[in-house]
Amino acid sequence: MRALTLARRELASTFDLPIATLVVAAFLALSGTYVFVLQPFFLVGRATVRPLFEFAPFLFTLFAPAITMRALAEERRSGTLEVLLAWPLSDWEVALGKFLAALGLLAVGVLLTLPYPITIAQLGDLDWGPVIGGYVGLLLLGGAYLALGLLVSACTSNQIVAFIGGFLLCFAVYLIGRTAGAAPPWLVPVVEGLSFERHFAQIARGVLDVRDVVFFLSVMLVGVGLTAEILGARRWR
Amino acid sequence: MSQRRPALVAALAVALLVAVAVLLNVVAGQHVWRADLTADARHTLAPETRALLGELRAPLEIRAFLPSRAPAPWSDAARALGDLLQSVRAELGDGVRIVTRDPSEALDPEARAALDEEARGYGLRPADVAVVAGDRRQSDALWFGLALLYEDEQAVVPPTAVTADLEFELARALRDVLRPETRRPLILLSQGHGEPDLLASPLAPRLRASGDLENTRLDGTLLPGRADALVILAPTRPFDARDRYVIDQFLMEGKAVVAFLDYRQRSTVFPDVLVPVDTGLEPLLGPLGVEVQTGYSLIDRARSGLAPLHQGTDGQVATASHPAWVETTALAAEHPVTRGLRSVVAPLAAPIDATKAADRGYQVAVLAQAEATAVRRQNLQRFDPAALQTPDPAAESVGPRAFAVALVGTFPSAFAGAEVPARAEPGPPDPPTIPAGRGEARFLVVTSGRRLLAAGADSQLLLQNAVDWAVTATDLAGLRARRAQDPPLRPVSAATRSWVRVGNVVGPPLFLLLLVGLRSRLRRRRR
Repeated sequence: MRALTLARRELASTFDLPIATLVVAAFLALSGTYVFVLQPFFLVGRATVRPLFEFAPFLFTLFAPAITMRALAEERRSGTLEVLLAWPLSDWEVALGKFLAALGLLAVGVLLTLPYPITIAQLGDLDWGPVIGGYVGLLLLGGAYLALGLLVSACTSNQIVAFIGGFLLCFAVYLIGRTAGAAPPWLVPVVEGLSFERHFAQIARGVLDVRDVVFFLSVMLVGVGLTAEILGARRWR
Repeated sequence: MSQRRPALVAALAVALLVAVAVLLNVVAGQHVWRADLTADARHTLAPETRALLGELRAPLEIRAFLPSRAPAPWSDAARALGDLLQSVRAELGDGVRIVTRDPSEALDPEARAALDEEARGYGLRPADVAVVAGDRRQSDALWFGLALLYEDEQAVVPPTAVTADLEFELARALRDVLRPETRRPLILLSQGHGEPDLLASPLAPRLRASGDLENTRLDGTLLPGRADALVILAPTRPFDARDRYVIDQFLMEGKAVVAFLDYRQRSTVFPDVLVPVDTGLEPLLGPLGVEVQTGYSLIDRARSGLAPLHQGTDGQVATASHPAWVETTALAAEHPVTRGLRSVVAPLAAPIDATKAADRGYQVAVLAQAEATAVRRQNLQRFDPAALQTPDPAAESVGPRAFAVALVGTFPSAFAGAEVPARAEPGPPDPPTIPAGRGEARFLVVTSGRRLLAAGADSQLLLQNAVDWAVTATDLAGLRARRAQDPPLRPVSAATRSWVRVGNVVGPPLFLLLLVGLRSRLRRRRR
């Protein structure tokens, strides 16, 4: 509950900063350009939102660290992290509050792409099943990226380092599934199992499978948990 | 408190966290729950498959060759096949025994040889999988698929990395073990008139789901009685009178003919010029009440598909919207040939008028016709799509828009009372001409051939369904339609297209900026 209060406060203050708004606006502009311009939407002529779901996982590797880079790194640099940790909140609640605030911002960005399927549904017989699946998948995938970004942000007091580190980590897990072909046979199931892209693709085809949902939730759990442990470690220094 | 204690606690907490996450994934992997959100439940066991499973009267045994260590796309296919088997188990309960073998497991040479022998014994063949070994990409053989054992029968689900094909193959295998007495149909593929060799094409394995395939060269000899259907795909040289007689007598035996015919092709000398193709088959269609307007081509400026224009030196094919590549959603929704298809692109199709066929009492189904915006263009000579962008009232008129028609009936012979055309080469004497059908025959004609098959996945499904229909094995057509592509967009004006683009690219970020600006202004005012 206290984590939710912190998340609400964080989210509200996020929109006071032009950088957060600009990041979301840039995400929307890039997504729209990819779906309707770079992918020759009317030339392909199909009633589908698939291009968004193909592009967003890559875009999220930039978007998620951009959201989380300030979350803890800036607090640490400006010295407000100590103030925050002095509040009657556990480390878990601080990490969860920060994570939920970031997820809220990402959700705003994702939900503002809803005009795409609404428009496409006016132009053709759009199957809403894969669209709903795709949006659920985007929130889960985005949540997993944010948890990793938050983890990196907790490790540094430099926003740029937090962004670059977060991007590298997210990009690595984005690419990991593609390295399966080059992995030794005994490692292939692990690599395939860790592939964010693969789990997301399963949901985006319109199938909500507990294996994929649990995968993303467990990444979020580990990311937020490790962040809480890093915050906790500061108390003992 | 010492520094060691919290470090130890933190390390334990991290280990516990990771262990919980791994455990959650393991549990989720063993208790699969899934919700199929698609409108046509295309990722759930289909009614056709359930019906076949419901016919089982004895336990079914499935030997599954499911590799746990295969690179994509085989890993996705393995997961999909595993899910399919779980659905089968949920449907049959104790009525099925599934034995899973993992061919990617490290085995000693003896065990490996035993596995290979077992898989081969069921009639499976290994799939070629691309793997990277060191710095080289090489091909490895991987066992993947199912063997279904039911009473004294067995059938296999062959390896396929296309997950959408798996359930179709499973249902087909079920059908084979349930109805072993049903002879596999023999489908003849016409050769010798410039037709492409379908047996050598990637379509062949898919067409084999309908029956055994055999190339046949029409040399004047009557087609064998054991054949069930004849497929004529895109001939470029005309069938002569003797060929027509052979096909006519095949129909009189109550057999089926599927013809995908081209009536225009690009000149080999001047690629920008379209030249007419004489198929020689129209005299057969006339007596059935089907008139192909060979002098016309359908064009639709509002709904056109992409045509390959030319191949560059880099091998890339340049494509452009072409009014003669008519795309249509006007398909017979309930007919097994077109059920489930979303749209078909028919390049350079000629219009068909089949009104007389209905008057003669045959079952006539217009399978596909161009949209209402289409017109017919007389004597189309130029390939250049730009040349067709401006309407030409002198050459264009409204007329029949159908380009795919299916007929069922007891047809009269086109050679009844006429002299039998002589064979070009001597051969055994002909039996007496059959003047009227001995049974119900089937004739399906589509006036776009070679290019139609290259115009999209749904067009290939049209051919596969047509062959199924010809051999009256349409019970799995609905399953095959799960491969159908996304539905097409409705035609809209250029202004609407611009608004859609600009609105979606600029609209959401602008909306966000305005909302945030408004919010900060309100907050400032409150202060």
